[in-house]
Amino acid sequence: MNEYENAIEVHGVSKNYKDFGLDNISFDVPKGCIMGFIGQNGAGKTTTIRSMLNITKIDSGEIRLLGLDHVQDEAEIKKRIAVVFDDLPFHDMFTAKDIAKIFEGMYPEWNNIVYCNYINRFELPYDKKIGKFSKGMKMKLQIACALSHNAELLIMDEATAGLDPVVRDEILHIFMEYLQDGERSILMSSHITSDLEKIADMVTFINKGRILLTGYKDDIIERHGIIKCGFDRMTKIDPDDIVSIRMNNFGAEIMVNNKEKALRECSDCVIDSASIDDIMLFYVHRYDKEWLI
Amino acid sequence: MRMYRSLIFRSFRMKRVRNRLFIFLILLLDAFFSLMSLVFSDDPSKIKDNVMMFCVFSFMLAMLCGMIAGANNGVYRMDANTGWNQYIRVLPPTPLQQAVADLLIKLIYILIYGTIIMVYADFSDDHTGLHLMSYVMNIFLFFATIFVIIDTVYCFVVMFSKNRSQLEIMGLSAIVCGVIIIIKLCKLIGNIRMYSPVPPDHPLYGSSYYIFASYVGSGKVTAVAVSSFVISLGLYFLTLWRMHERREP
Repeated sequence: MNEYENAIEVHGVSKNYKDFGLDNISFDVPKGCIMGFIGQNGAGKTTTIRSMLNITKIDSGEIRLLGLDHVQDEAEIKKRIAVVFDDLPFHDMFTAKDIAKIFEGMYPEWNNIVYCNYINRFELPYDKKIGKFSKGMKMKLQIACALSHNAELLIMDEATAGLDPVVRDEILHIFMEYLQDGERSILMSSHITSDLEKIADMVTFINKGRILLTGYKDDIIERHGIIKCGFDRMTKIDPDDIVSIRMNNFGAEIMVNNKEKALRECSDCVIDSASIDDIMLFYVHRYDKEWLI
Repeated sequence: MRMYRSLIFRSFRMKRVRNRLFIFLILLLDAFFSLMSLVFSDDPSKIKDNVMMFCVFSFMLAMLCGMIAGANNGVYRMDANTGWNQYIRVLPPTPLQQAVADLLIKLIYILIYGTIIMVYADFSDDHTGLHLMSYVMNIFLFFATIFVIIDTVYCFVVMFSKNRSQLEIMGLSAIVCGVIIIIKLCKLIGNIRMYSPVPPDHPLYGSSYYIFASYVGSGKVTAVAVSSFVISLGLYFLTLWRMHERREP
């Protein structure tokens, strides 16, 4: 097993389609971290993930997973990672028992005892056809499969979309447990920012094929703030610190990326903390008509 | 080996009902035709009629077995519908391993149905005394080859067509080419001169069915059947390997 610092390294990745493309995407996921990969629908999250997994060829750039090249060492990588998509890709006639038999031969480190433990924990039936499972049950089954072969890297593409809050919370809790040894990492793409606020160590924002922001979640939240002030006060704020401004009839909401400085300079204004949602909105909408840079 | 066992298990599990149904039907037909050969072989004076019956029944059974063994078992379409074709790209099996597993699955079907047809032919040989095992096996191999080729072309068309209209054009072209090849082959077969393998005083002399069956069961035809079968399996394997390796551009 090779040593590596970053579970995922994406450097300068570009991929062009007819009407969309990834433009010079770069980010790293350190070992032991949970990275939230956030963006609107159609921002490029799935395209990025598919490029990482060599489902789609990239036009330029470099991708390394677990310290290995994503194309040359593809076979080795795939024994050590697990991927969860938003849909269970098994035919309805299979049962949980059948799926265990299928994966048992594919993964050298497959552990049936661990799999059975997760199945019991999720209260999933062994012998019922998965065609009769609910969406939540199917997702739990996929996750049970992903966690049963000692994968060093989990890649989840919109895995919690369409699930109710109770199920989502249960699943997030299990991910936290899974990462306790510090040797495993998760990349979780989602547009449900509340999930990522709960568990992510780092976040990467992507919009229209470009990375807007990447870094540790707490740092990003700490750095950003929303100043609520009148139009006359807007000119006093350093333009370099402004992400974007949302105008309304009473004044403006200004997102700044240097909250500490803003607190010193605008002590007479209301400065609210920004959530991941707010940060995403302000970054994404800054080119809209009612938003200004 | 465990990898192949998993992939083969998955395929057979998906088609369990279909497989059981087909095997049951073939065994039923097998039993029926065997019974016929038992009943009609008692009267030596009707040997020419027995040959006709044996040839026709055997042809039908061998053709059916060959078709089922060689044909696409529908798993590929099911996989496309569930998204498995995409998902397996993130799993450990390499494209080569997937192609080998697909080939092994095809060979298992051929082995199963080939065994059924061989047992039938052996039983009928013992009771009719006609010794036309190679006739039956060659028919089986020829039809298995034809359907393996059809399956290969189907995979090729699906692999290279980028949209529905391309799929239709390529599919139609494949059908037209197939029809032309069949017509040419029929003309070729029609020009073959077959001779009676038995002397004029033999009871079967002059039986066109016996002449046909003897010709089809001859060494030359066996060589052609086996070699075309092996080549078709090779093409099938290479096409599937290429298909599994293909990445979205």
